[in-house]
Amino acid sequence: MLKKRSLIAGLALIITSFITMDIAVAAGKANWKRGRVYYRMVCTVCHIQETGAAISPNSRTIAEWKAYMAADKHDASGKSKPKVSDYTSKAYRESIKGSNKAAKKFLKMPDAALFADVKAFVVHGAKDSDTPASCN
Amino acid sequence: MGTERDTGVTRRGFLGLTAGTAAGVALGMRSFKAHAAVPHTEETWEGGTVIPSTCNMCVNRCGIRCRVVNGVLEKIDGDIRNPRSRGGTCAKGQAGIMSVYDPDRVKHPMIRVGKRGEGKWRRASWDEAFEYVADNLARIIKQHGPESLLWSSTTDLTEQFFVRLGIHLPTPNFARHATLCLASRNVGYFATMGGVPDSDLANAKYILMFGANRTESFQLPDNWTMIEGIKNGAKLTVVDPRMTYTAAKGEWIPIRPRTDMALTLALMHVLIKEELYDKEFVATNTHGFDELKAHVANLTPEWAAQETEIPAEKIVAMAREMAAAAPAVVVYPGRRTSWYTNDSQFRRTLPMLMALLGAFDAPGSHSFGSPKARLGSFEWEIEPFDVAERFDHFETRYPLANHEDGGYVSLRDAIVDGTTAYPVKGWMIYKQNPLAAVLDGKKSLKMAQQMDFICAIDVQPSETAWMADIILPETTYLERLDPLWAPSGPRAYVGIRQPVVPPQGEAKPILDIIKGVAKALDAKHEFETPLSQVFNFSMEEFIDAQLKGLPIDRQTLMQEGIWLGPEEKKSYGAYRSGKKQFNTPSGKIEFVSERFRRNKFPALPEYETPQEVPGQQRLVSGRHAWFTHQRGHANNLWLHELYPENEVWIHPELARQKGISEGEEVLVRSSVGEIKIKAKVTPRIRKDTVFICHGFGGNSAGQTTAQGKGGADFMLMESAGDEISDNQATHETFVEVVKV
Repeated sequence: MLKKRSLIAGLALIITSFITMDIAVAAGKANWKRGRVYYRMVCTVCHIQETGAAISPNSRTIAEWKAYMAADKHDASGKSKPKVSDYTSKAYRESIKGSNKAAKKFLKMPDAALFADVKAFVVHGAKDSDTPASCN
Repeated sequence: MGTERDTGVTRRGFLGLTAGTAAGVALGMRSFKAHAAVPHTEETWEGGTVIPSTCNMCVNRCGIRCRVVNGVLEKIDGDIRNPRSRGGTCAKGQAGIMSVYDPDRVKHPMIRVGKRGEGKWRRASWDEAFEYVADNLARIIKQHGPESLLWSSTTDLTEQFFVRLGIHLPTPNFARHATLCLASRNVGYFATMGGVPDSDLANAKYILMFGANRTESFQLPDNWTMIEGIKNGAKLTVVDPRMTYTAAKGEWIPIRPRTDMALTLALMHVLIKEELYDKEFVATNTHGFDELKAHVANLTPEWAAQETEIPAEKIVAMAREMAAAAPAVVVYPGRRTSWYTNDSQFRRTLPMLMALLGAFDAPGSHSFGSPKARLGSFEWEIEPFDVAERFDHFETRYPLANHEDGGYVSLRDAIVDGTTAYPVKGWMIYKQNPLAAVLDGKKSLKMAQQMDFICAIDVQPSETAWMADIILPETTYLERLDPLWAPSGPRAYVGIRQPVVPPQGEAKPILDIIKGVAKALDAKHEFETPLSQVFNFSMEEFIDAQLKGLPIDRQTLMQEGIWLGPEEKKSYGAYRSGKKQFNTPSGKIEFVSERFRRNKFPALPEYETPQEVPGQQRLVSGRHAWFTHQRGHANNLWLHELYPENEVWIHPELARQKGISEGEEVLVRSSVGEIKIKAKVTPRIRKDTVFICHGFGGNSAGQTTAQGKGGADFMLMESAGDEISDNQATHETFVEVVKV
């Protein structure tokens, strides 16, 4: 009985967490500061390794970032994963957790919430924002 | 001052506890003039070992070569290989020796035992000092949260370690150097063209400087080449209420203070009206020209002449001369731009003027993208992101400022006026002297007195350190290994700052101090990431991470002192052709700032006639060749020998009216303070203006060389900040000069 109660409570907690997360994402309450950590420690590190250069949030406008994140297409070259969201997914974090502190730290975060955080950061730091951000 | 019977030690006792070595005392006894008179060649200083390093006596960080004989630093020379200094070493650079051997220097942890600021101290071990700091920080964090800690520091290679400790507590309340110096320039230029461009002073045909006194403040190669250019026919125009040494190299335009924007707007008026502007550049690279044209249509030279007291025909001539020299024109951005409350808007007009002239992306003008070595990144631990909002509402009050720098004036006033969002109880200060740098010194003192705990990490017992509860002695730049330095400039390079002599006393490098505090704090409080884990690396490992990808290793770099990148010929044209975009909302140089408009600031700079106070003079301050920064210069025995006391500059006519003679001590008073200071009667200053060199009039009893010498400008300056960046506005005060 106790086990069943615990299970129900656990499921309720999980469901509540997802609902809360969805509401937060829907309400635009993404955490750009968390997104900054992930962007700089995962995205930027990879961009520099693979292309030799970082892609700063201030290299695009707010509209461009919103369109880019809405389209969810990482790049057209075909050399990388097709979607931006692939790089915020749990599967990706799992695959690099051994060598990346941010991936390990955010391992259990829901995909949508982390994607929203990253989006919030690049929009917050876009070149026509009030606070343009570099990769440093 | 206490007595010898007190439980604490007196100033004399403090000095006894921190006294210099025999070698240092011997060096201190030597006259700097005699020292500097020896020709600056390595052959004249035989023996010992020469160690290459990087200077830290000002922000340029010149390459230096240090001769050490029998463990004593005897001589500092310039490193001819360094692209930013090319063998030059100024008086400040050479006098860096005395930063090591200063008898006033703090060499052991010192804990306050008397009243705050009373000057009673006792010596502590490092273990006790770390416990003391950690006890206080942990207590404040427990009672009020980490956000109740204020974290102050000055820009330098090592600042990142101190800041990183604050980030991991976590506190959002940082107060950094920019708002005491150049925040308004940065905000103005970033809004207008996405960054502060480099200036090609060597090849410019016309150079316009507002207030900047760079030939005196910084002895740099681009000044030497600028002088060569002037000899070859380039024109330098310096707009300044005071005739500086820089103004003496060209034409001095003694503008009425706080009317600089009237001049720049009128210059734009002439360029547009006479169609002297670069139409192709404006069409391709700018945003909002039509609005600008309408905005300046009535801002005629005749109107500006009334405001600036510069004749209208002179303004017209200046515009025509600049247009004739374009695009090889430098409208110099300036460095210390903490002048007026409208400074960000004034600074915006400089790149606007530059854009009209097409003076960008061409030789002799401005550009982005000078050569720079790319350093590798050190992988820090993940920083906390659930951090409180700042206590001073800085983000909402100054939406376009750099929020990570904070603003000294607004935060100080919020604390003293009791308008903080929550209590501010502790103050950690690294290598900064806000009690002698922030205007309205009495108010800053009140802020210090309201703190439960103050810790200063410093080399000197500065005014701020003297008010602390504990001073942690840091090594000088000549005694420690620092992160690497890779600036942009004429040629990419990496410079290293390394120990030249062993530390004096028990002074420690900042990284070791931070590690000690981190370890002690971990035992008293649980942080998201243990602080010891954050700082679990050596400086050598940090440098190795920076060197990743560069074709040189640490040992070789320490031996050579510098790594030089390949010589690159600068290429031009990418922006002019529209291939590259500016980092602004429109991708162009913005005459009309959409960012300003969105935040309800005037989208085009709007001029307001300054108010004056009858019978009083506007106070302006500046720097001297030997005193560019208060920190470290004021108490330097050798620099003090060169210039022991500052003066208040007053115009001969004003002196005559008041019956004041050259060298006579006068009283200067404002609404917030008064000082006694000697008068320098000179026609090199306007009659409606007085000038006081910054960096004097110190009141720390621990600094026996500097204490009480000259007058402190910051004690007279009223509280004011730039409306957009909160850069402190040090030229907004009117003073009365009174014969004593």
